[in-house]
Amino acid sequence: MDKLCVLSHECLPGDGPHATIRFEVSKVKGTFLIPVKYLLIYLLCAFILTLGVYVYSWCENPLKITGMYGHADLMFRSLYAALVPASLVALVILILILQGSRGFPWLMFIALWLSFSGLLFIQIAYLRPYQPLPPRTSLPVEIPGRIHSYRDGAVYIEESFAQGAPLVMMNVSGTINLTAGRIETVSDQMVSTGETSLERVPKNPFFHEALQAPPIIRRIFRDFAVISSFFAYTYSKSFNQAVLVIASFGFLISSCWIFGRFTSWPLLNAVYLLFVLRLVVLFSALMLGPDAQELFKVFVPNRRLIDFMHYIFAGAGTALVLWDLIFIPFRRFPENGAGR
Amino acid sequence: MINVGRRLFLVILLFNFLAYLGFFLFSLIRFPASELLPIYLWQWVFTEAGIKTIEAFMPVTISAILLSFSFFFRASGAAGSSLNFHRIAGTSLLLFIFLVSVYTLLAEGFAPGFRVRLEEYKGNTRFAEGSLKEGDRLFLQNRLEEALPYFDYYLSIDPDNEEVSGRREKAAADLELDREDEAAIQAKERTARRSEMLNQDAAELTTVAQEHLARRDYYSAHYYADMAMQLDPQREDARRIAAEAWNRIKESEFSREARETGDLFRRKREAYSQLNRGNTIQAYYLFTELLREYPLDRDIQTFSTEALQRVRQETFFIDETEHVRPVPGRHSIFFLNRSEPELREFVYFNRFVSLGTLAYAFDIEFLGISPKGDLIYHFTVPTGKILESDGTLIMLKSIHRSIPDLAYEPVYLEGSPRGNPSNLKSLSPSITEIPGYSMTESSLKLQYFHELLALRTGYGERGFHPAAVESELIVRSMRPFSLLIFGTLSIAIGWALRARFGRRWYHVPLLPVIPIVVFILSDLYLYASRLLQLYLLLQSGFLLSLIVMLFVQALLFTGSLILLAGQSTHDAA
Repeated sequence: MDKLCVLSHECLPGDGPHATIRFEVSKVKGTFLIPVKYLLIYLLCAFILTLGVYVYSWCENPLKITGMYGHADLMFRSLYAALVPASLVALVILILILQGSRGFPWLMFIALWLSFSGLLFIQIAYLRPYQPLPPRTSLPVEIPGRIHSYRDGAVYIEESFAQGAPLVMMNVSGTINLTAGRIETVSDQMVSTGETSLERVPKNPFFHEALQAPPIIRRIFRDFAVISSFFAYTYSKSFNQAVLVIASFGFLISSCWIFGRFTSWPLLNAVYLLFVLRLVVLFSALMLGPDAQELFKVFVPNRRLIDFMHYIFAGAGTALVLWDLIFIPFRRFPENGAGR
Repeated sequence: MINVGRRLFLVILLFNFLAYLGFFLFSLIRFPASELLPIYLWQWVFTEAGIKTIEAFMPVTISAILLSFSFFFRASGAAGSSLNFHRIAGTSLLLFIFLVSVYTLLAEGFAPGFRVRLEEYKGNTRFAEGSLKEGDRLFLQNRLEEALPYFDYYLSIDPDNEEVSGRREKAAADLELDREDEAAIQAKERTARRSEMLNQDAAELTTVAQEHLARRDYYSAHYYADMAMQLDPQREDARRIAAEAWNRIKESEFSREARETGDLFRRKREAYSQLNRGNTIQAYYLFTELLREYPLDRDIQTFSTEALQRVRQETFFIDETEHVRPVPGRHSIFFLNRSEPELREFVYFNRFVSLGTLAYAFDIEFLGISPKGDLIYHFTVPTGKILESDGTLIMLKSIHRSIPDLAYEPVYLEGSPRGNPSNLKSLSPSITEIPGYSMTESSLKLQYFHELLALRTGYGERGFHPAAVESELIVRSMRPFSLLIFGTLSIAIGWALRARFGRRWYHVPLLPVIPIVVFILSDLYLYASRLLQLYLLLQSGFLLSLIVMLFVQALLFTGSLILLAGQSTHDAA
């Protein structure tokens, strides 16, 4: 009697033809379902991240964003900000899910690569170019009739931070700490009564601490901004080059899958995968950033710069795949029972 | 199996102990030498490590649970073990309730106090360094008597500082030397005068005595005549002058007694009328002087006590602040004091020291503007005493106990007092609320939960956005739930991703990566949670956002329990 194969490692050649056929069919199905799964996870991640960016942006300046139009506008701009990070987060989640699923490993890898690169390309080429955060947040927050608490003091405004408007300023330095007067000069960075002035730092003097993102999250978003800007720039120069550079970047990211099978301990693998992907994004952002680009121009002609980046990504990805082939073959999934 | 709860507890305890050790070393390396005196090194390191350990309690505990279930514990079916996952989970959930209680106690019962202590170390350092600077300045100007108290202030905080002790001793010695020199000069002068007199003969001294008698200086006349008699006991003229001078002295003493009685009556009447007219401070000084001269006079005793009581109702003594000055307090207090509807009155205290029901403020400023922004008044005063009696009152005048000219009272930089000039002003916040208006960074974190609740009611009235304190309240209320949710989730994840196929030696050096990633993920969760509750708070108010956040926590906890329930008991199917 044929044995019912529930997990891949449970089906052995001796289990009979029906079991083997069912097993192969389920592997094909598992492989071809990867783009669908990826898209679904991506949509979920994009939704959650968009909400996160929207809430953050609204809290930054709650008085400036009001009404249906204001909220809808902010929601769309938050969506643009969340798209690229969402595609990578979705990829990480999918890799973690794929650790125990059935499929043809190499086909799964190719499906993963094409899904990620394709989605990234569509976002860069056809959706609005990535913006780090809605630009309105650069305006400092002001609330009439309230004390605005800044780094070096505080300011009370009766109505607004307009020129000529009354204010009371408290400056922690000096022998006389309070000043009352009218605003003589005001900008996003500072406010002055003529006699005394104060820097308007932080921009949100009410909930600055609550809005302070953990440094690592800030850096990740900044790195995504650099990477996306480079891809958008490449796309504006040449369609083919954009395809190549995005595909090679996708190849490098997908080949990090190897770290999802690094040891026989799934938890450690998951942690390592996150760790390594963070490093890849960090180094990619460093290489695609303006400083590194200036440095590369010394060695590489300007017109070949995008190709150079493409070679680096593809080269690094190939190295990982070769390492994978030699040292960590796909059959060594932890679930295969032969974990390292 | 029976020991699972104990084993898990020990692992969690070990992880937190290691975290404390790590933070201890980190704090030792990062000691802010520019902000703190060296005497605070160990106190600061211990306290800072304690705060950091409490802050990191959640990720450290989660890492411990995750590793226990993923690496240390084995399921039934595995070699050498017969653990039943459901029973492990049950024991662990009970343990979590205990951990949540401990965490809440640490975070709400100890952490704010530890943070206040760190602020105090910094405040004490600022005060000590300021005192030393002032002491040095006065010392260089040779104002030794004034310099000494400043050195004493410094030494009250850093008593083992040999350098400053040496400086103080030198100042004290120099001062003593100056006094000795002065006394020596005076003694020298007296000796010179005496020897000059001794060189005179009896006749000359009798002439001098006669001259003094003619000038009605009877004491001197008696003195010189007496000296002449000592040189020549046979001189009758000297004896006569001495006798006459003595008679005159006796007569004048009788008349002085009569005069003094009249004078005492006049002074008592003057002091009493001052007290009656409400000039209590003048009356106080008059009665104090009288009491010093006539300590047994019943009238003076009664009315000086009355004067003192009345003085204490509108002013305080400078020496009270001298005792409080070295006590650590909170800095940069600033708030809107709503005393009249058509007035915006702003209050600033550079330093605020609370002693329970009374408090002292230093370097005070009051500034009043109209709703249109026109400046009405602005005054400063060095010290103030804050009391609670039918509301909060601040006394702005301080006087010396015995020197009437030495007093501190408001100095108007702009404008003048509104209405009757008064040295008493009412403050809208209570003494316990005032520290909450400190403008130093993260000042709300220094408040206990009940203090935050008290602060919430008047926070908007004092010119601040009420959401700031409400947000802190919600964040703190949600903290225990986060531990519960993450703890349950970490059992499920740890078990699902456990090392099924044996543990390898190379896993061990890789273990530290897991807490690092857990730290980042828990930071991300707490950040997202903060954003969500702030959004809800600003959109729908405190109560609704609290309810929604509780609902979200309940939902997440349910989700984590479902995930936990979905785990298999055994390694093999």
